[in-house]
Amino acid sequence: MNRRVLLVVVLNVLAILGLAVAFPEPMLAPGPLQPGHAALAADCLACHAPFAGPDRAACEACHTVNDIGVRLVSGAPAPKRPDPDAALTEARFHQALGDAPCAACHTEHGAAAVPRFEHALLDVDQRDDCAACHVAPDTALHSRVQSFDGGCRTCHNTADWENARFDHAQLSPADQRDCVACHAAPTDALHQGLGAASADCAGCHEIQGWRPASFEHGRYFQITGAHRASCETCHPGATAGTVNLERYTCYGCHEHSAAGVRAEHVEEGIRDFADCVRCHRSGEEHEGREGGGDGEGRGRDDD
Amino acid sequence: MTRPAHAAHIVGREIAPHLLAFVGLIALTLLFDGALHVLGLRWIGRWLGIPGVLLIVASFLYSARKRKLIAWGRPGALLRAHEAMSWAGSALILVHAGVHFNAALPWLAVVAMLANVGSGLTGKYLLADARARLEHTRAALLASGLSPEALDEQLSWDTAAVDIVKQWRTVHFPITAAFVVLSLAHIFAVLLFGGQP
Repeated sequence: MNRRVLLVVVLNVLAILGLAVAFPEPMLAPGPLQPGHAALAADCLACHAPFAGPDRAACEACHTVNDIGVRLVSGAPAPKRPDPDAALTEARFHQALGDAPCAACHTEHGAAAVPRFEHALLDVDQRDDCAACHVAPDTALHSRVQSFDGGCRTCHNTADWENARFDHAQLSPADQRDCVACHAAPTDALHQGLGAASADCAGCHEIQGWRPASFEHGRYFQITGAHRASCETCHPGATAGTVNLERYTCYGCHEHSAAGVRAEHVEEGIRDFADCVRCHRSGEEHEGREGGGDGEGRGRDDD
Repeated sequence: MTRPAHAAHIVGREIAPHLLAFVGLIALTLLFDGALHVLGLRWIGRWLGIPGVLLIVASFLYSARKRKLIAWGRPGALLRAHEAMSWAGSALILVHAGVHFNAALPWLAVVAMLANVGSGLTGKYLLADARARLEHTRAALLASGLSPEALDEQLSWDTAAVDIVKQWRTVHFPITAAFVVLSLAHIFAVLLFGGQP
């Protein structure tokens, strides 16, 4: 190593050592400490054991485990939890954490200080006793659930409350049919257009899942042949969601002019032909003779 | 070749590739780091410092060969490996650093590393330029009818190209030394206070 390089190395080492001693926090710490620990900012080894990381024994020098949740380090009574934690009880659980390192949940140094509680740190009895720490949710759904054989774990896991697996079979048959007690009625154009039929969720959907759904247009009119048109052709306003889809018109194309339809039906002696699909359930031209249920119009209309 | 055309040749064929290598290093880092953040995989960046350091340490095989600390390996191939591995290692370390401003020590190490990469690319350019000048001189002397013996003697006196590379090394080594010391200090601090990388 030539002398110039050696000089640079020595100067570097001296500069780093000097800066680390004079300004330990900005030089070495990844972020500021919490206000309660500010007095320790220049004394890294107050919390870090050399080559072993944050030391639980160092935490316990000030924070007595049995006092956590009871009184503060100063000896004053511990305050009640603030409102955002209302879903949690005042249960003391630190005492059940065993030998878990404090840093498993509590971290320091600014942006790196992300609290991360792991249920796995609790002993089994406390982990399974969800209600000891969590207030039971007061929702329409939870009040209707009948079978809690597996407790909260029937639907929830400890990793994520929202990521639950709910089985509708846990509801009574009556509640299973009362979909809107828990589910908001859909507001899309299709459901709005269904009118009163939209209240019959089970007509299209099953409790296993919102999809796949089985809306059968053929129950009202079979869309075949030239009738494979846009919704708007028979249900003007359907696309904008401004029309009841139970209402329709067959006068939207050249085959079905009001005068022509009237002439064809009067010729057959049919006078009640306002509701076309009552007799014509598909695009078949001669279907009307079978579809009518009132005894009218039994003759052919192709003459 | 006219003077403007010569200048354009130097910028386009000699300087641009090295500048592109440096800009590409920064761009790749931003893309990689951004992707890790978007995908929620920031923890991967935390560990990329280790392969980055290993690549850079491996790239020093060339330095060891040049100083005869090792006797194996062709210097030319080791030089190309030195260039490639130090560039890739720097990219991994830059992703490891991320666009986060935490403690000053690791950032000093990153600044020293970038200065080192910039210095290395400058040296690469100077070396390529020296080789080109030597070839140009050799071709001109051969065309003038100089004998091979006289040519070698003549070229041995043309040390300007060699000198400039030597002078560059006197700058590159101290920058490398600063980078190594700062990096070791950062690694030591992480192990001392964190107990893990």
